[in-house]
Amino acid sequence: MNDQVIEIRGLLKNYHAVHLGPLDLTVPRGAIYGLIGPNCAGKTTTIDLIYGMGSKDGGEIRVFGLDHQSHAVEIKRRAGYVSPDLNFEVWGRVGRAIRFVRGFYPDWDDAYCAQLMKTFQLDARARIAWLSFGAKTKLSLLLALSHRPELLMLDEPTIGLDAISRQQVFAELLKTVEDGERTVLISSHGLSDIERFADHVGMIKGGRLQLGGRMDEVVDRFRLAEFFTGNGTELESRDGFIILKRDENRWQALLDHNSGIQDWLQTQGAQQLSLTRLTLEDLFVALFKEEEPA
Amino acid sequence: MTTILWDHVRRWWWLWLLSCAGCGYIVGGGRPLTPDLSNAWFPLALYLGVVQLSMDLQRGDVPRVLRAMPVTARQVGRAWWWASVGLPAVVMAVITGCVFAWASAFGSRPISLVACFNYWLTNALLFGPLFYFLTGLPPTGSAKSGRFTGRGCLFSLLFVGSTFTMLYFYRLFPPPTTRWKVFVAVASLLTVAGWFRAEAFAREHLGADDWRRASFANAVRFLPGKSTDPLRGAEGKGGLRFLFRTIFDRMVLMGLFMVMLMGGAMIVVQFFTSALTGNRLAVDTTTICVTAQVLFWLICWQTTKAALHLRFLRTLPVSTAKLAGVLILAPVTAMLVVFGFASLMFALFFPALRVSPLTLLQGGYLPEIALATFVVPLVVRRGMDLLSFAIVMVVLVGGSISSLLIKEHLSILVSCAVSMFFVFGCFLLTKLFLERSSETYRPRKNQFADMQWGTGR
Repeated sequence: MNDQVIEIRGLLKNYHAVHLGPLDLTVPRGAIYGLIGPNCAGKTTTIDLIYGMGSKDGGEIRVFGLDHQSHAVEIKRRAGYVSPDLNFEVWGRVGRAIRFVRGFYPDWDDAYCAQLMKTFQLDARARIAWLSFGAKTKLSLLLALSHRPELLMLDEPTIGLDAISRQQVFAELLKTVEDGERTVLISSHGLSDIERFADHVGMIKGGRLQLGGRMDEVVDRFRLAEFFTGNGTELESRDGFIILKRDENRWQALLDHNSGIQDWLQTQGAQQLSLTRLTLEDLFVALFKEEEPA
Repeated sequence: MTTILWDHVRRWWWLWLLSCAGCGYIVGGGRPLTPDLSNAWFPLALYLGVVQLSMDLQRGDVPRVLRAMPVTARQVGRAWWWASVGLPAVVMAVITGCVFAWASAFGSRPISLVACFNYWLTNALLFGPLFYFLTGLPPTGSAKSGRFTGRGCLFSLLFVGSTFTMLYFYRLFPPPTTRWKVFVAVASLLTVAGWFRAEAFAREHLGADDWRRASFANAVRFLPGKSTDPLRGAEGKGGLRFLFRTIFDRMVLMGLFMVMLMGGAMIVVQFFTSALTGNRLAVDTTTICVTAQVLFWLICWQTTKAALHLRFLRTLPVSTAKLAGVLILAPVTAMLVVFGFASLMFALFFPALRVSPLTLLQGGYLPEIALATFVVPLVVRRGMDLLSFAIVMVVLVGGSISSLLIKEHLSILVSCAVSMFFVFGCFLLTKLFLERSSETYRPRKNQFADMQWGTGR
């Protein structure tokens, strides 16, 4: 059995302000993979392309080892998709939306669907137009989960949800992957949620994967360094060393442990060096924020 | 109030310009002025008045923004009244005055000031009643929130009926007869009533009553003792067949309603024209064909509702060919059903016309159905924005005119073949857009409803 559920190689796509790629990304089986990046980085475009919404300009996408275009129907039968962009209002009521979607999945689980309706406090007779934004997202999640997909792709699933609803959503996601066979790819700006629930992370910027791997490894790899230098010392950002802020002789920078940059810094006359562990959000901001002028 | 009014003019300046030019052309340039002044500009001037406002209301952006602004409902309502009634009347007074002055100075037959005033008054007084009828229409989205009441139905009928009647207006109320005086009195009353009704109208469109009702109604479902089988209402077969039925039912119901409305309006207008003027209204197969073209487009617009959910539909395990097939076949079948019903209805109520499915086929019905299908790939590719709307209007007018040519030059067999070819082309285009266009799945505006493609970003 293939250990990679999603394999993307050299993906290219130009779409208005988004210039995606070449993008290489793999999502291992059984993982909760958080795809994060600033606005316009290409996260939604990537997920759309995996799901066949629009055509790629180049590269290869394989899902479950199958080509995403020629086996689109089979892949979608085994996967689920959630996004706040999904709109079910044309079906009128929650029950009709369920009835419609259920018709496409032979392995639809009615009991699980009923259980999710109870958890998410949804009623089959409720009008979709009257549902709150959060309830619509829950409906989207219910429709995606009820056929117990092997792969769940979520594009900003927690946007507009309150703290309790967010916990419910992630609790269901954790239940989904607890057998180790199901995989979740989640794109979100809620970095604290991603850090708490995802075990893999990919950071995307300008259409390219800047950083990716296991969550603990990625977060542990970087430290926030604060140090002083003598008068007239000039330092510039380089591989594994990103200057974040400079206040005369006082510096703040992002250090990559794996690059051996700490020794280099000592040779440059850095004094009173202090290293602080980062959260995913700190790391994200440090990596993607432009250097502040002195 | 003036800020809202000028904002309205700034956003719609191009339509004002087009309508003013068109009206000027109708008043003086299009045809030589006749002493009875029967070349009314009102059907065009409609685009200066309520049409712009109703489009703003349907799209929902303007009320949404105004809701957050420090203005009262009264100020908004009165600004809307000025934009739809007051300002168009003033603008048309200037245009009419200029054209009549020109015609009197350089034309062969001078026209009296009184005739000029009566002409302007008759046309301008139509703005007020239409605004009043518009204020009675249910706000967009109220049908699904259960507020589409009997009053809403009545005002919808009055609104559609009065715009339709305007085509025959001068025959019904020629100035300065008693009938005309009655019209002036009634229209003036409705214009004033519209001014006072404007505040409540604005409150309906700005207010959050629907949400309060909705939250309450949804909350009531979770009260103790209300719990039932959670999946009740989700029984029955779903899937593609259900999608087809959802679109098809909506289209057929809407089509039949429109046929009844148009047929009914024709009968009423015919009755009044006969009673008031002694002349029977000329309804022929050509009129029916041209009217049907509009009807077919309206039916096809129902596809927009499904096409606005393409992102959702594409997440389902169904091939693009099948999805495109449903999106094309549902309106085509619905139009054929409505076509059959319409021919039966016209045969029943207008026996003198000798209308039958065969005569209507000769009248170019099939190419009209095929042409209307063009809405589907257009909406799939672009959504329903202003440019799409303009394209639809151009093809609609072209289609109506071409149906007259088809009637004269193409045999039924040829028009059948052309229609099938065109429908197949629309299918291929829809499939292509579903597969290749990223544009198709991005949040965009729908011109004809307040919902959007996406709601999250």
